Amino acid sequence: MKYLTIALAKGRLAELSVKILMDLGYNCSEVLEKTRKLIFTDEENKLKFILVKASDVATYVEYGAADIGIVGRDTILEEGRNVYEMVDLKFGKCRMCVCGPRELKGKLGEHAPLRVASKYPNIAKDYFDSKDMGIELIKLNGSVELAPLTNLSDVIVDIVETGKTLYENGLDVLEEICPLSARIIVNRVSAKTERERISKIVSAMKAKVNE
Amino acid sequence: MNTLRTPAGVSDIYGKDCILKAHTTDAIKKVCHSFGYSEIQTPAFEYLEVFGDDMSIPTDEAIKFIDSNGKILALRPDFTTSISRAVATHFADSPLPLRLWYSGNVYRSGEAYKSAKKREFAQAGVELIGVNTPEADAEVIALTINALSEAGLEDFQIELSHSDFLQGIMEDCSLSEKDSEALRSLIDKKFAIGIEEFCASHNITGTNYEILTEISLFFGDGEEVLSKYRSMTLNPVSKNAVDDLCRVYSILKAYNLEKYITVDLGQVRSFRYYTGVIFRALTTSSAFPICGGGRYNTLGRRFDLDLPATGVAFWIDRLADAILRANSSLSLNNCPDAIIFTSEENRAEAYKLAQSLREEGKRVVLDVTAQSEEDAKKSARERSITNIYFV
Repeated sequence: MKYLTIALAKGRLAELSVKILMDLGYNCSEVLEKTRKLIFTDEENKLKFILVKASDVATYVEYGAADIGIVGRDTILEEGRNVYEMVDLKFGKCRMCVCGPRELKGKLGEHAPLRVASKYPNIAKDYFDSKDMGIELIKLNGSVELAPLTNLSDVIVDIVETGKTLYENGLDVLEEICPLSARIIVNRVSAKTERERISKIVSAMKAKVNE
Repeated sequence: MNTLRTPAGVSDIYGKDCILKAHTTDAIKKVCHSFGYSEIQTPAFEYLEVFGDDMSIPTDEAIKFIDSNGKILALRPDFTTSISRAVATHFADSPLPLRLWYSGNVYRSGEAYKSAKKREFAQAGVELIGVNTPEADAEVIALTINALSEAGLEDFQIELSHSDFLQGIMEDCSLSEKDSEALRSLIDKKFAIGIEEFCASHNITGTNYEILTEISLFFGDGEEVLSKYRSMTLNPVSKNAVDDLCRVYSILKAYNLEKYITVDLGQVRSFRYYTGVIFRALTTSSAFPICGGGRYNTLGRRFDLDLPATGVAFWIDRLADAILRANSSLSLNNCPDAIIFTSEENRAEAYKLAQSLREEGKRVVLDVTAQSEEDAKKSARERSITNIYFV
C-alpha cells in the first residue's frame, strides 16, 4: 500500500491538527517533538506527515507531494492553488480585514488610488478589484500595522484575531473581507485515486471537529 | 543577454527524456492509427480570432505576436479549435464522420496557472467529427483507454462527467451567468461549505439543494453514482445528461472497459466549448490529469461549420512522467549497438560492414576520428558502446 502524505502548516495549526489526528488513533505525536526530522511516519496506518511553512502547504498538495494538507484559509486564498478545499476544521478562526485609522471608516472610496500594504497582495488585489477600486499595492512581510502609522500606506489588509494590536495602535477594522479558519485541502487526483483512504481520514476529522 | 539560455517556460529535451517522450507519443499514434484515424497537422500559429472568443482558452492565455501586416497572431493554445477551423477550411464537403489525430505543441502564457510556469506543452489527441451518438463518445474513451495501456500505464481511471448536468441545475435555479460561474468554481473546488452558503443565499432548495450539497463527496464507482442520479427526479436538461452518460457507460461495459470508469458529476468542464459527455484520465503516478476530452457540438459554428464532435487530448509530458514513475524498470537505453573504427584507406570496407549490420537492425556508429586503438576503446567506453569493430 502506498503511503499517504499529510502536510501540516508549522505552528499552532499543526499542534491542533496533531491533537485531532492523535484522538482519531493516528500516530503522529513525534511531529511536535523538537527534532531535526522532516518526515514522520505512522507505519501502522501507512501515513507520512510533513511539517512545512504555512504558505507552502497548498503547493505541496497541488503538486501531489502531499495528498492532504491542513492549512489556514488565508494561505489558500493568497496562493490560489488548484486543490480541493474539502473541510472547515473550525479552529484557528479569524478574519481577513481591511484595517486603518478609524477616521477612514466608510471613506475608502474617497482615496484614489488607495495605498494598501499587505502580506497578502493577491487577496488585497482581488478584494479591491471586486469593488472596482484602483489601489496601489505595497507588499510587506511582517509588522504590517506599522504601515499606516508611518504613512507608508493608507490602509492594510491583514488577519484580525482579537484586534488588540490594532486598537492599541489607534487602528480599527474598516471592512471585513472574509472569515478564516483551518481547512483540509486535498490533491485533485489523490482525492479520486485514493478515494477510500482519504475520505476516511477527512470524514473522521470532520466528524471530530463537529462533535 | 545570455543567448545560451532558453526563455522561461520552454526547454530543450534530449537523451532519456526524448526517448520517453517518443515512446509515449508513439504508443498513442499507434492506437489512433489502429482505430482508423488519419493524421492532421495544423500551423503552430494562427490569427488570434481563430481562438478568439471565450469558448476555448481565454485569449489572454495565448502567446501573441504581430504579423508584418499588423494582424495579431497567436501560438495555438489548443489543438481542438485549430482543427475545427481546418475542418471548416478543407473538409466541409467530405463524407462524415472524420477521424483525425494530431500531435505537437501547444503554447500558453502560463499566467493563469500560477503553478505551471511552463509555456510549451506537448500534446497528442484525436477528434471524431460529424457524429452525435453515445457510440462516438464511447469510441473516443475506448481509444483513450487503449492508448494509455499501450503506453505502459496500468493503474488509471477514466472519470466521466457531463457539461449539461450542472448547466441544467443552474438553469433550473434561474441563476445568472455570473452566479453560475461562481457556483461552478465552488463545485470545482469541492468547497462544500461555500456551496452550502451559496444555496442559502440564493434560496436553492429541494432536489437541487440535495444534489449540490452532496456533490463534493459523491463520486466514484460509475454504476453506483449513475444509478443514484437516475433514481432522482431531475430537471429535463440534467436528466438528459444522466441518460446520456448511462448510454455511454453501457457501451463501455459491453466493451468490457467498465473497470476503468468512474463518475464525478462535480467535475466541471475545463473548456466552455464542451457540450456533453466530458472525461479525463487520472492515475496514482501523476498529481494532474493525464488527458482530457469530451463532446463539443457547437465549437465549429464559429467557422460556419455546424458539426457535432468529440475528442481527447493527452498531456504528453505528464503521461510520460506517470509512465516512468509507474514502471521503474522501463528501459530508456539510447546507446548505439556497435561502433566501427576505421581509417581513411579502409573507409569503403568499413561503410559496407556498417550497412550490413544496420540492415540487421543494429544501430551502428562509424568513427574515423580515433588516433589509436587505446583512444578508440576510450571513446566507445565514454558512449557506453560495448561492441567495437576495427576495420
